Amino acid sequence: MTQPVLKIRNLSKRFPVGGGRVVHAVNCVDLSIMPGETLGMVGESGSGKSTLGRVILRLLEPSEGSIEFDGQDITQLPKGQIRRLRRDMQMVFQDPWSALNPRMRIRDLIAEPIKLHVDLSRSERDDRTEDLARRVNLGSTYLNRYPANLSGGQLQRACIARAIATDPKLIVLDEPTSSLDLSVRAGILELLAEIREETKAAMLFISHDLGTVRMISDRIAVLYLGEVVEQGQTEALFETPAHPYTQALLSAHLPADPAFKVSRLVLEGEVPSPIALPTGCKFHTRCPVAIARCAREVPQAIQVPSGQQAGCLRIPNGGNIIERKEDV
Amino acid sequence: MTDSDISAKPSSQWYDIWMQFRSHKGALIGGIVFILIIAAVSLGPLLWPYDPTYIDIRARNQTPNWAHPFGTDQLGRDTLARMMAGGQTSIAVGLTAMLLALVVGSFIGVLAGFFKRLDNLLMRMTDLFLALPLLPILLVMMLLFREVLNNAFGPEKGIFILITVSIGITSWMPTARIVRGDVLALKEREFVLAARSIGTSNTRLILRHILPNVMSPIMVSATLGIANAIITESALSFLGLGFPPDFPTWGRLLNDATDYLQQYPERVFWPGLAISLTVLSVNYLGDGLRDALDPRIRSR
Repeated sequence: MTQPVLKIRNLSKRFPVGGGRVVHAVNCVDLSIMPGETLGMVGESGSGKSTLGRVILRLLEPSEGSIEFDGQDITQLPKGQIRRLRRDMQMVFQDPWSALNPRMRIRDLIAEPIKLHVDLSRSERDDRTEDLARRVNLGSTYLNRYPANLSGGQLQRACIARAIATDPKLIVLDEPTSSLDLSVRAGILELLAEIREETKAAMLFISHDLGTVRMISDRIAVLYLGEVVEQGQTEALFETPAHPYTQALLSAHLPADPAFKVSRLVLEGEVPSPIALPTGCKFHTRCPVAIARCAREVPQAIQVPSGQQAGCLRIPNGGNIIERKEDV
Repeated sequence: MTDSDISAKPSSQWYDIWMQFRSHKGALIGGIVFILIIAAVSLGPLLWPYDPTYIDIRARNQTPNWAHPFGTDQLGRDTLARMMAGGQTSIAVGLTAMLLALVVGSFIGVLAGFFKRLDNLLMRMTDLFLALPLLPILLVMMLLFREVLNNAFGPEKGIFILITVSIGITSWMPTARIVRGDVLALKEREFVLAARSIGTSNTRLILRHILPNVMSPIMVSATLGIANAIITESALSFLGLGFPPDFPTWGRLLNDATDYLQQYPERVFWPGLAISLTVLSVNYLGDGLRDALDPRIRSR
C-alpha cells in the first residue's frame, strides 16, 4: 500500500482572542490524502477550512495533533527545515489580486520558487518560467507585466504557475475560484484538472462551492465548526449523504437541471460561535433530527453502508436521514 | 486595457518608469530645477571670478549691480559667490544627513514592523529619541566630538561629518515610525503569506517583498528630510555650533543677513529663495519618483 502524502491526526488550531477566550478554529481533524488524489474540503464560511489549509502547510502553528507529510512528521520541524520542504508543498490563495506582490513582474513572481529551490542558470530559469506560463495558458507577453495589468483569471493562472513551478507533491488550493467570474472559473478548473493529470500532484481543494468541489475531487470532507463531520468518495457522498449537515448542505446546492424538483432543507439559526462551542455533537443546535443524547455525547466517525465516514449518533438506527418536505 | 496594449512590445521597466515620471509635470519641473541648482552650485564657482572669502572692504554693503548681481555683504564679499559655495555645503549636508536618517529609520522601522519581538524595544527607543531635546544633544555632541574629528579629518571635513551625523541620528524617528506602520499593514497582505508558503527566507522576504512596497513613505520622508536637514543645519550655524563663521552655508548666510534685515532686506531673500526652491523642487521630484516607481499607478 502506498503511503499517504499527507496524514493529519487529531489536529486542532486555537486562536486566543483576549480576555481568556479562545476561538476553536479547527478541532481534532483526522484526514489523509494519497499521492495524486484530490480531496475536496467544503464547509460554510467560518468553518475553519482556510485555517486548516494553512496549518497543514505550517503557515500557522498547530495547537495540537500531528501532521505527517510524505512519511515525515513535520509538526515540530524547525522553521529552517520547513522552508526546504516547501518545495514539495505549495499553496494557491483565494484572492489572486493580493496574493502577488504588486511591485514584481509576473516573470519574477513565477520564477521565484524556482530561484529559491532549484539550482538553475539564469537562462534555464527563464526557459522554465516561459514553459510554466505556457502550461497555465498565460501568454508570454504578460510575463513582463505587473499584477495590476492582469485580470483576475490571468493572475490566478500566474499563481498556479507559481505553485507548480517546483513540481510539488501537494498543492493546497484555498478557494482558488471563488473570487473569479463564473466564465473564468471553468477555465481555471479545467486547468487544475489538466495539471493534476500532468504532475500527479495531490491536491487539497478548499471551497464552499459544492458544484466546483464535485467536479474536481476524488474524495470530499465536509467541515462544520472546524470538525470533519463526514468524509468519503465524492459520488457516494453526493448520492447518499449520511450526516444531517451534509444533507442540508447538498440540498442548498442548485442542480443544473431546471426541471429537477428542489426540496430544500433550510437550517434554523446561525452557526454557533467558535468561541463557545456547543457540547456533544457540534451540530445539535441546528440539527433537525437531533435527540437529547446529541447534546451530551460526542459522536465518533463511523462507516456507513455507502462507504463514507460520518460522525452522527443517529446513524446506527437510521434516524440520521432528514425527511424532506415537498416544496410548494 | 485594450488588445493593442497587450500585443505591444513589452517595454523595459526603466522605460516605463521614465514615461510615468515624464507625465508628471510637477516632478519633471522639480527635477530640472534641482539639477539646475546642483549645476549652479557645483559649476558656478569655476566660472564666477570672485572668491567667496575674498574681502573687498571698499565694495561692502552694495545692492545688486552688474559687478555683484546679488550684492555684497558687510565685509564686501560677493553674495553670489557665497551663495554658490554655501549651496554646495547645504545641499551636501542635506543629502547626506537625509540618506543617513533614511537608512537608519527604514532599518529600524522594518525590523520593528517585521519582527514582533523587536517591536516594543525598538519603538520605545524611537520614543526615547523623539523625547530627547534636540539642541542640548547636538551641543553635547559638538563639544565631545568636534576636536576629535577636527584632528582626524581636518576642520572642514570634520565638522561636515559631525553635522551630518548629528542631524542624521536625530531625525530618523519619523521615518522609522511611518515605515513600521506600513510594514505592519503589509505583513497582513496575502502576498507575504504566499511568499512564505513558497519558502522565502525572512531576509529575502524583507528585501524583495517588504522594502519595495514601503518605498512610497520612504520617498516622502526623504524629500521632507532634505528640507529638514538644511533647516537644522542653518539653525546650528545660527547658534554657532555649525560650520565656522567664515565658512558659508545657506543657513549661515540667512542668519548673517537677519542682522541687516532693516537696511538690506534683499540679503535674506537670496538664501531664503535658494532653500525654498531646493526644498520645493525636491518635494516635487520625490512625489513624481514615488508615482513612477509604483506599478499600480503606472498602469493607469
